[in-house]
Amino acid sequence: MEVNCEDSDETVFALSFSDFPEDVQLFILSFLDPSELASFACTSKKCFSLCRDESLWFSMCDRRWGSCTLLKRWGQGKISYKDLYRILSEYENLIGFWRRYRINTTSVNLRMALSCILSGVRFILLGQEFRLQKTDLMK
Amino acid sequence: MSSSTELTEKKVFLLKSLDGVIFEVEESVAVQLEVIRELIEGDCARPFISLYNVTSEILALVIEYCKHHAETCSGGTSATIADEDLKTFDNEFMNVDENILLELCSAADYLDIKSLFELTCRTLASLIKDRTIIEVRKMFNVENDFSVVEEKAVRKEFAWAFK
Repeated sequence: MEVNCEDSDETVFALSFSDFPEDVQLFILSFLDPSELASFACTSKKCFSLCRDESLWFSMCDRRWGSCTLLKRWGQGKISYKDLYRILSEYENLIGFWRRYRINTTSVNLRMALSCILSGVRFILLGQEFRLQKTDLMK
Repeated sequence: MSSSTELTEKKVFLLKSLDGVIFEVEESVAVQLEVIRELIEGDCARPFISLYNVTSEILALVIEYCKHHAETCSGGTSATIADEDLKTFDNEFMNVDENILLELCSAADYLDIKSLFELTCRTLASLIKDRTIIEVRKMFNVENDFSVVEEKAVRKEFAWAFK
């Protein structure tokens, strides 16, 4: 990363994305959405491996849903954050549904009932994910 | 900008860039550079602090950024007006050449200025958006090292995201 001051003025600014430390590269990529990341993954092997990084997908999940759900409880660590992102973007209405009722309700029983429903949803999603992986393997 | 009487009241620090240019900055600016915070607080910042990874051109920009942020935050205006002002400033500040942007990002990382680092990373990400794969390759100086089969596999893995 150090700038080489022996070079002439034109080449002083010779930094490129790949010169950055990996955590910086991942931080930059975390501002992309999945379709943009998918395109980026197609540029080279190195970029592809960056786009599969778990910490990258965790920060993307966290930025989008971190304030409304406990991400680490989804899938109990058995789903990669990339898959979690994909599932949550499909079913994100369910997070809103649960949250709306949790805030508005004062009834402990209702709250408990709703948290049971949520656990059920999580369980279903986990099951669905395993089915997805299984069919992927069978192909 | 400051008169000599003000100078004796306000603590100033000297920052030396990679190419030997010395910048005088006030404490409100210097403390935003987390990397030198300990030196400042421990009173070890004399006679000057050398910043070996930052050229004078970039350091001048970094100081301009920190100065504006320090002044806006201590200016006594309401938080929403200050926020708006910073947003406008940040947008204009990011209107620089791509190479400078990369240098700024690298400097913000090295100097540990969180807000500038996030701003530059966000801006770099926005440069990646809306560009084709070929353009991104050119921009980041990377070569396509996939075989046809491998590229197909990548597209398959991310097929859901392309929707």
